[in-house]
Amino acid sequence: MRPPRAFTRETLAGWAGVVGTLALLAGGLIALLAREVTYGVFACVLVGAAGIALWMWAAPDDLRAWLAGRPTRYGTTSVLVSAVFIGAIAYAYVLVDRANITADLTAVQRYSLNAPTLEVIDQLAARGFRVRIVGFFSRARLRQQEAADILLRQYEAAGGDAIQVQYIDPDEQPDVAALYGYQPGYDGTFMLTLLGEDGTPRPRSTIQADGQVGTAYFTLYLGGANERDITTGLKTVASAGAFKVYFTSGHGERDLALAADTGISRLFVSLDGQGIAVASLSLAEVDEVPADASAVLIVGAWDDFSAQEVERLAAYLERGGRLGIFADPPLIEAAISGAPGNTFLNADSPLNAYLWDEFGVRALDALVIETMPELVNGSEWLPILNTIAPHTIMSDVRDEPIHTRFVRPLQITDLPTERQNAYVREPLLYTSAQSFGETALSDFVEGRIAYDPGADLPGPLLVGVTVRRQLEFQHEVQPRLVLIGDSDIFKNEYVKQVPGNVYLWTDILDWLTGFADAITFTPVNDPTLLKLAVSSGERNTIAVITMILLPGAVLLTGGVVWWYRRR
Amino acid sequence: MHSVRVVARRELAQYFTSPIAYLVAFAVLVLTGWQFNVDLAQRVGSQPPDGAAVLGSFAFFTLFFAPLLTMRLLAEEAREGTLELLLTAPVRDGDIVLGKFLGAWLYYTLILGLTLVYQAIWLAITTARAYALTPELDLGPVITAYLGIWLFGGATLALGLLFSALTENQVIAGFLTMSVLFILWLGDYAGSVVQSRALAQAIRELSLQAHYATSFLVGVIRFEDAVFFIGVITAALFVATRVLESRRWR
Repeated sequence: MRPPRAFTRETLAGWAGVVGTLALLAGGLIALLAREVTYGVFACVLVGAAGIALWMWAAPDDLRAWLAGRPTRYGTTSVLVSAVFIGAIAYAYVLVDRANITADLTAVQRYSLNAPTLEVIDQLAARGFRVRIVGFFSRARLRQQEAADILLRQYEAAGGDAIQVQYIDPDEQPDVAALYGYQPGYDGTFMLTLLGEDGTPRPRSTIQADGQVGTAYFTLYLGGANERDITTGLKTVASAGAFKVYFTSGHGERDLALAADTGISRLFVSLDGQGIAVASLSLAEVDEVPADASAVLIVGAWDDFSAQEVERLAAYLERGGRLGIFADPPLIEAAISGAPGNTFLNADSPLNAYLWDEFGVRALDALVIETMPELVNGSEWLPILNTIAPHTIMSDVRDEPIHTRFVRPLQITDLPTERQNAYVREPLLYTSAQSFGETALSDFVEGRIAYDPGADLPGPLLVGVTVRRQLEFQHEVQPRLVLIGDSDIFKNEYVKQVPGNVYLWTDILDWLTGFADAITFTPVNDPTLLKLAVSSGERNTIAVITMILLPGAVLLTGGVVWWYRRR
Repeated sequence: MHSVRVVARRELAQYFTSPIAYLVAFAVLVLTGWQFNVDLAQRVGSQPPDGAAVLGSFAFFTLFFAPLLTMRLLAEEAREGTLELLLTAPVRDGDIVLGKFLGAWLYYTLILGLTLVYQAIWLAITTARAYALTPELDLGPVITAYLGIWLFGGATLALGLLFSALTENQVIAGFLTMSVLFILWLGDYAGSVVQSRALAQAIRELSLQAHYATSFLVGVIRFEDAVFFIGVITAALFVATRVLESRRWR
């Protein structure tokens, strides 16, 4: 039987040294994790120092021998050499990490930037734009952040000074995230912001909680980390200023700056938010429509355009201009509000006559009356637009309702002249079959609403039409026209609460200006993304090969080897 | 290098004369075969083929069988006393460590090579058929995934060899290796557990999966990921050599 070990002074010193060393290590670890000197760290340091001091005091010879001993000398050297070696490897890793070298071996270069993207980046740099792509990734999404970074670091590398990439943890930096437009549900997604000269995000117009127009960072929501969305965002920024929309003024048009329900400030904000320049245009004061006009819009004019103004518009359209007219019915609004009468596009209007002669479309002096208002709107003059013609513009609207108020019917020529034949007239919106067009507007103002089979227009009525060149004239300039029999459709009151109206507005603008085509990025076709087709018989054969034959062969070989070696 | 070759060949031969190695290969093939068939069933009619998918599972299985391959490398020699004989032979410590590692890595490579049968099946399905809309197998991710899993396996084996050098008990060596590999695997999800983002990022940098799943497995070679695995292998072998060397002065 072994005698019990005596508890000597050296034993105590040895244990004190071990406890002291462990306490110091624990203190260092806690400080590293907590990133501050807590009471725990302080206590560990105290215990550690006391333990080491006790060791040094109680067994100085032991300490001296340990320090000068062979294991200590060799061990220390070994640990130091290992630490330096691992440090060198870590340093090399950091250097390579910063070098950002990536090879994409996918067949369609899925994780590389395509040529159109590189062109956009060049355009950005050439035009002096600087953008910041901001990714919102909380701690829990570190993995997604790393996956996204494969693509994002290429944007950063290709963009040089033009593109910065920044990741924000919305949990740790909620204020910064909010500045860039972070909202719940955006974790794991990206925003794009345009930077100013000083490197800070540029401001843009926005609608504040009180409905007024204010400013915030210029941000564009990109969505996930894919080349299509990010490049589309970059193209949007790159095209900033390349598109300019003029709103006519001087005829009682709706006010772009008016934040009230009757204003159209939300249209201005939506254009500004996409980087489309907006300007006012008084045709009476200029010789011609400016050459940089991507489109001219007439929204809710009350006074008709003079012959001279019409000539300027006609000259603009002959150059391939794009015109959008949103016209309210005559008399009605004026009669209700007590304002002077609405004469825009009335029967003897020069502009209406030009539209008819040139394009074969015109506005009628009538008001759409809904005979079954109880179905949807509850008012005779808020017609149901339940017949939507197939048209590019209506692709986004789909089944979304569109709200209108006091709508004016339109007419398309049945027998186009040779000149009118150069154009395609495509219906856009119809009212319901139960509606009719009241032509006796004075009767309506006096409260007499009745369908007069002889004079009034039977429904469904055309209230929206587009005009473009015939295909055989594609080599010539391409004027385009959109005529809608209502301007309330785009006023703030509707735009802020009716998605259908917003889609209609953006699609009309895209159709007129070509903005969406200019910013849309189409990735290459990927033949590896077709769906797999395997018959059940083939699957059974594969299962037998992979789960029985192959493992069985390996097991059999092992068995033979084992049996052979036993012999 | 000659001594490295000799040691490596001896180790590889030991794998092939031991039934355990065949059982490991059998288990790996059954598991990956099951995974391959599950993946195939899920893709039919809904997704394109992905040759790298089965290698994602292979990486996970590596956590279990790499310790089985390495736990005996040095621990068994130390327990049976043959290590002392080896150390007295005219062979450098580093050559012993490197030779044993290469032997294990070669065996791992052979097991990995068996999974090429799945790629052959994918190619048979996608190219040797007359359907007009048959998807093509993207070989890029397959190549990068094999390169990645090979490096991944090398790193796990090097760590296993290090733990085998630290103890004479094979079970402890195997258990420690498996524990550390699990921690390094789960480190990829550190952000969901650790409250400090900086610490979570630091842990992820050490995670084996983080350097494989988001790059090699999807068809991308990030140079730093390759350097990470090579670095882990080099560091682990270097430290294992120092540990072996310490037997001379302990």
